Amino acid sequence: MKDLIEKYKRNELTPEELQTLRAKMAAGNAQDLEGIMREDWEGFQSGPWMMPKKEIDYNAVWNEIERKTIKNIVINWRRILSYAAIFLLPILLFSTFYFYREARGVMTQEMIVQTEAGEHANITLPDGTSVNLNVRSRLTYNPADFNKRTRRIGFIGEGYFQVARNEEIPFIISSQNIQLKVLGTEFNFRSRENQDNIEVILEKGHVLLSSSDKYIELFENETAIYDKQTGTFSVEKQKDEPIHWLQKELYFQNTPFADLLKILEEAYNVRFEWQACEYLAGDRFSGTLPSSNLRSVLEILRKSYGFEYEVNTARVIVIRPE
Amino acid sequence: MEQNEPIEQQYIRELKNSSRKAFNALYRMYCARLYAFAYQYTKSKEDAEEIIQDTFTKLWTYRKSIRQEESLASFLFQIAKNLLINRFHSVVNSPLFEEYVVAHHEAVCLETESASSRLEFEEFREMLLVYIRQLPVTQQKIVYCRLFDELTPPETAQKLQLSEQTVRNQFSLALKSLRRYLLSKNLLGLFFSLLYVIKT
Repeated sequence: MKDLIEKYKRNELTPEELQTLRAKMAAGNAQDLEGIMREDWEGFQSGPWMMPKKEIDYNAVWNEIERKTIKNIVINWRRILSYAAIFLLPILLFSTFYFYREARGVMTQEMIVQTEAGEHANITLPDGTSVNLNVRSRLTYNPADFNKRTRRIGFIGEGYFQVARNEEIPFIISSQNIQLKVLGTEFNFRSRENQDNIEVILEKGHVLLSSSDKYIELFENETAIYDKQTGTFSVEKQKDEPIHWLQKELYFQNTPFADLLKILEEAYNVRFEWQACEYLAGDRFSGTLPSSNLRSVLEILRKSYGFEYEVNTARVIVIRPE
Repeated sequence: MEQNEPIEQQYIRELKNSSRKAFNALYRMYCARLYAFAYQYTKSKEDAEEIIQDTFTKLWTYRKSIRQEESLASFLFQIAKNLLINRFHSVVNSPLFEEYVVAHHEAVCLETESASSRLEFEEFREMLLVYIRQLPVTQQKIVYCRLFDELTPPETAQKLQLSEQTVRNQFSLALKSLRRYLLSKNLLGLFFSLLYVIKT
């Protein structure tokens, strides 16, 4: 067999010898052939005549290796990911739970929207109701309860409400010691702690106003005034006037100079020093002033009262006679 | 070889630590030797190259399991042997190789062939592929089926929708003209190789 293989290698087999080789390879066991080849290999030296004709591409070999290695890396990644999943799962569960509780905490906390002097704000509540807040106003509600059976808010200050219509869930405003219940309307609501009365100007729809012992119904274009001193309601037809603060105007009618300055201080978040002009305190002012242009307000007042003013620091205005 | 021994051991150690440089060096040391060895059995450059590529890829994959005292030569043989034996088997048993042996033998008997003009199996195969195109279409198809696809006469008959007898007749006709052609080629080859010898 060894001879035949030698002849095979040298291309010297005759057809008969080829048949013999085939028969032997078919019958013989693999160990024999392997043994012969191993012996052959151990003594084998490649002579220059047997050198490969073209350079075998080392890069091709290396590329093949890299291809296989990359496959291994991919498999490793999968393993790493599965470990990561095992570790991350409890963290995920824990954080889900934690943030859920946190969110619940936020839900049970009261929401507060508040404006300071010189600020206006416009907010939309979860039910779609939109509220314009005038200066120094505060609206509170509880997100967990709001819009469930009732839409209940607390309010102090002045605001213009456009309540989204929902007859199933009444919208209830509690302010100082009165309650206002609506189903879907537009109205201006003024309820300031430092003023003697609470005023509701109803532009559309129908509202119910109640104090501890009285209640009234209010219809379109009516204005209700609650006197905090006497605890009584009065209703009058709405004056055919716009709601001034919404138009960025301040409205005054026979307003004493001292009150005028107080209102301006709130609207513009400034402070007047007017000791030198005490004599003006009882003067009354009627008319409208812009609520967003301090310079022109001061000019108007200077002309009508004849004083000089000086904007001292950023927020202090000193007034003295001419 | 003897004086290379310590260097080879050093490379093997580095290879076990995944050194690409060592791998490259070992590749340079063994590539030509393994290639030449494989070619003797595969009688095909392509197959020999495939064995090289496969063997060295596996060398890298199994680099950690090389035993330090083992020679790389025997490790490489261990990897290469199965592929090598398979290729060897399929060449020996292929009808194409048989035809090669027969054509060879005729040439030797007619003494048109000398050692220098001896045709390699691979060259024979290529020449055959060129010559086949000159044969009638049916014969072409039959030769393809019988020699390259290694189908039996009944299988060829079925595939080409011919009678088995036609397949046999046409095939032997094709072989006859083929042998005649190869003999003439050989004579030319002899002539050219003589010219070459004279020139050098």
